[in-house]
Amino acid sequence: MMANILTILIFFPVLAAFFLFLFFRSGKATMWGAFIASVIELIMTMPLMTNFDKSYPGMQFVEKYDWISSFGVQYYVGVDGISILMVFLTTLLTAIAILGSFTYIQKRQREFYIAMLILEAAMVGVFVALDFFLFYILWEAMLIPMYLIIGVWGGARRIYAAVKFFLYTLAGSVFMMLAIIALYFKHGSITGNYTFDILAISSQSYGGGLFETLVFLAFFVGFAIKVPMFPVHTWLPDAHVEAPTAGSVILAGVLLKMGTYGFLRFCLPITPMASINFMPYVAVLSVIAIIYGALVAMVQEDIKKLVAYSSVSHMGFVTLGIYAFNQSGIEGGILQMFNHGIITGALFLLIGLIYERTHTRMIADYGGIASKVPVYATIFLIFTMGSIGLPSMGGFIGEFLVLVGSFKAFSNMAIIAASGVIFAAVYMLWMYQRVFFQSYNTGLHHLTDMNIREVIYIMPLIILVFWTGIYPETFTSYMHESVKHLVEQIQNIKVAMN
Amino acid sequence: MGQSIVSILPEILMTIFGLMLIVIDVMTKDEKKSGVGYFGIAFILLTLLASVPVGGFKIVGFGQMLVWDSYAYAFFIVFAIAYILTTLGSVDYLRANGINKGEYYTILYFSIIGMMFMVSATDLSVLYLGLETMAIAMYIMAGFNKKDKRSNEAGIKYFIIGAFSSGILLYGLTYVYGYAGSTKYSVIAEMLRTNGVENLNIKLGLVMMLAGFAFKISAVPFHMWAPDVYSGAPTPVTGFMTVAPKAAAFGALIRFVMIALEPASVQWQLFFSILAVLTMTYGNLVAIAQNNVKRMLAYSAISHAGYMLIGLVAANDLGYKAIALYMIIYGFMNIGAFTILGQLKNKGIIDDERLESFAGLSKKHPLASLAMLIFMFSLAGIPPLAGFIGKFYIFSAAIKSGLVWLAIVGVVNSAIACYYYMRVTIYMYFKEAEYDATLEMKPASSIATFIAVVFVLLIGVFPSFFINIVKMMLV
Repeated sequence: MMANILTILIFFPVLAAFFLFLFFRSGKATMWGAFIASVIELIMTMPLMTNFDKSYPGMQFVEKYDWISSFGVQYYVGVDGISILMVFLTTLLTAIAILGSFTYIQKRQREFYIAMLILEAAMVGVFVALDFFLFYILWEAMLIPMYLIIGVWGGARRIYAAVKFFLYTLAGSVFMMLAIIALYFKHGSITGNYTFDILAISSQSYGGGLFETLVFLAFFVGFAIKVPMFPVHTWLPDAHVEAPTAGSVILAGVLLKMGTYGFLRFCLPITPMASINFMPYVAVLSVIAIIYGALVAMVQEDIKKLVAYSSVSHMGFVTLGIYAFNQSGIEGGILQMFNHGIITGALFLLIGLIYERTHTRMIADYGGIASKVPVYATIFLIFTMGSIGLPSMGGFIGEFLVLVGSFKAFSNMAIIAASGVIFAAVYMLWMYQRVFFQSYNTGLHHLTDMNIREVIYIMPLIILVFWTGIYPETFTSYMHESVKHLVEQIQNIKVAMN
Repeated sequence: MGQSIVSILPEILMTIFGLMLIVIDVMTKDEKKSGVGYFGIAFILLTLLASVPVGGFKIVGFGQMLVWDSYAYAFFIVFAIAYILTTLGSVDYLRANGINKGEYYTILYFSIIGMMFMVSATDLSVLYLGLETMAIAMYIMAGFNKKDKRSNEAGIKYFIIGAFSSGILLYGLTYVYGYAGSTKYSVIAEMLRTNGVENLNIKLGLVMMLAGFAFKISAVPFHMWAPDVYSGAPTPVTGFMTVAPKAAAFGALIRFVMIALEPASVQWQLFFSILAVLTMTYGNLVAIAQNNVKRMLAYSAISHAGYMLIGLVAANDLGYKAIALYMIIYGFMNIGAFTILGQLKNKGIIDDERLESFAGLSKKHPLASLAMLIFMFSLAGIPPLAGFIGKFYIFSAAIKSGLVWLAIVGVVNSAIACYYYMRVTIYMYFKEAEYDATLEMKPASSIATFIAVVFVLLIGVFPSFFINIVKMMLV
């Protein structure tokens, strides 16, 4: 079983979805079926985590079969230290998001849970694909279920948000497709081996000229939209606000990571010289995202929108760390990807469950609810602190490593970026104060506290946010070797360039 | 002579079967006319089986006037797919519109014989014969719904403009003949190679010929007839017209430029790359503005011709294979979409293809909507659906030839196209029905839709098999 674990992880949710589609007629049964399937999927990730050899930098659990042989396309999957945490994050958040949707999704439940499972399969696939063609197919395939999730089960402006999300992402990824095709022919003409094998293409040098720059830019557009980086971030607040809770959780928790994962997996190894040349620009864009995202978050009146803009800011840290090109920066970036998934995912879940009760997300409609819902207030505080980056919590370690790494690479940028942490404290605490303290809003007297199901699905996230904060080595140990290998690659080229 | 007969054996078989079809039509009762269509399907499948090419064979006949090879066979497959799906999708449509006539299936069937000659032709006169056989059948098909004014208009418009374009093509042919002294592709190529293209007569002739072809594949600016004809013709016929005659024209065009115009490749590449850009962009931009799904698909058919032109401009092996593969895929997804469109009827609403009539469809007919969703996303080129494989091949061919700019234009266009395909899904899934929209999927149409969906998914996920077929065909 271990030999095919990745294939099982990709196809199990699809088969489960198909099974539910054929044999489950009622929404409630499908809901439970989907939840059980997602939990099985999560459990199956565990042997992957425990059997992973942390001392080996390359790909593990590799599977390779011919797929479209005439074009050199393979079904080729594997994980390394950079992708394994993302796989774990995906299966974890999907299970939680499904459990979190039990009462939220009231209409067309069957379709919703089937869409969630198909989405999960595509996301896992994106993180383990080692063939460009496979990667691209899964990257795009994920758009359709997400589009439906936002468009069918979303809020008032859901259609606008769904279309915007779809078109933005598509516009970016079509350029990525051109880059992939160009690399295919270039690599083929250099080596005589026409293949979409990502590792083979990565190990070839493309000379750093115009070709490499164009490929870099095409990739960059695709990934930057997904992250999303300033100034192509505008789809994100709309999508987040309008999406149902589960959609927001998956969007923030996993989909955004696909962009930064793309930088790590493609931009740095394949176009290292162009990456080095563009490093200052990316750093500036990241810092703008950090500050701008934070400032815009500060003035939001809608909690969900506030958290959405804070994502722009937090993801800025990730890209800043990655483009520092050193061990701590990249490790911090990856850890921050993981943490942001946990923390922001949890915040969206919490916002979703209060929205279910009150049907409002406006900060002004709340006030003083801490006394009414103490458990909720406590848990919300934990994640507020996590988001700010309080030491002992995950967010702190991630941002700290990023700042250490970026300080070495570009100290000016790091100093400005650090102020983003202060801004984060301002907008999060201010929001917390306005929602939970102040004078009590009498309109909310029937508000009930979290029930057992809600505590259950938030629990793993609480544990993880402290775990990463107190003993991050559990998670960083996965990536040490892979990141080290990546950093060496880039440093060698940097030396060669000078 | 023996070899000559073999080279047109598929066409002879088709013709004999076609004549039998006429007899069968006379013998069937009025209410059972769909039987004619089913016989047609059986006949086409029989011919397809009887003429399976064995390993890249090539039979030249009638003093190099035509050739039966695996290339012609690949296009025959496209025509067969188009015929089968269209027939299945037409059965209920004809009945519901009171035009349940046997000749519908027969004429459709005979048009395919013309198309086969077009693709087999290596001589201008055979090419023209095939083209006219196809075109006359198509004029009738476009106006088949005699009671419908729009269909009448479509028939007349198609006839007048089609005849005009045939005239231009013929005029071009005579110039080329006058210059080369022969109608054979190979002789024309020989003359071009020795004398160059700097002769005014040959230039004029070629431009007119290529313009005539551009009319047939509805490339901008020779597309003016297409939107009205496509939207006026009976819906299943539209599906057929956007696929089969276009494939035939592409098939004939590729053979013509590959053999006869090979020495003038720089010139015609420029001509077609301009057409490709105009066609894609115009088709897409105007499709966005459409509120009628049939018209929207009509304009999108124009833009798809533009994508296929990219494969032609790439002028490499990969490009020609890409066009053949694209045609097969396009046949499945577009005829599939038109089958559903043909089934969509709203009593009391005059214009039954309005976008609004799709509102809330997914609640009442989840399976039909899912199929339509698959067709729309496939047409838009979203993986893992077949349309993506087609586009991927086309763009690959362009990049391989160093035409990155053309690939970029194509890619930007497919992103634009996504918007209007999505609008259909928006109405089906995200909007509530304004009125009681009902969609009745009858058995024959359901089978056609099912076949199309299965192939769109299969080609998308396991393209290898289909690519190998195309590859084997186009050695």
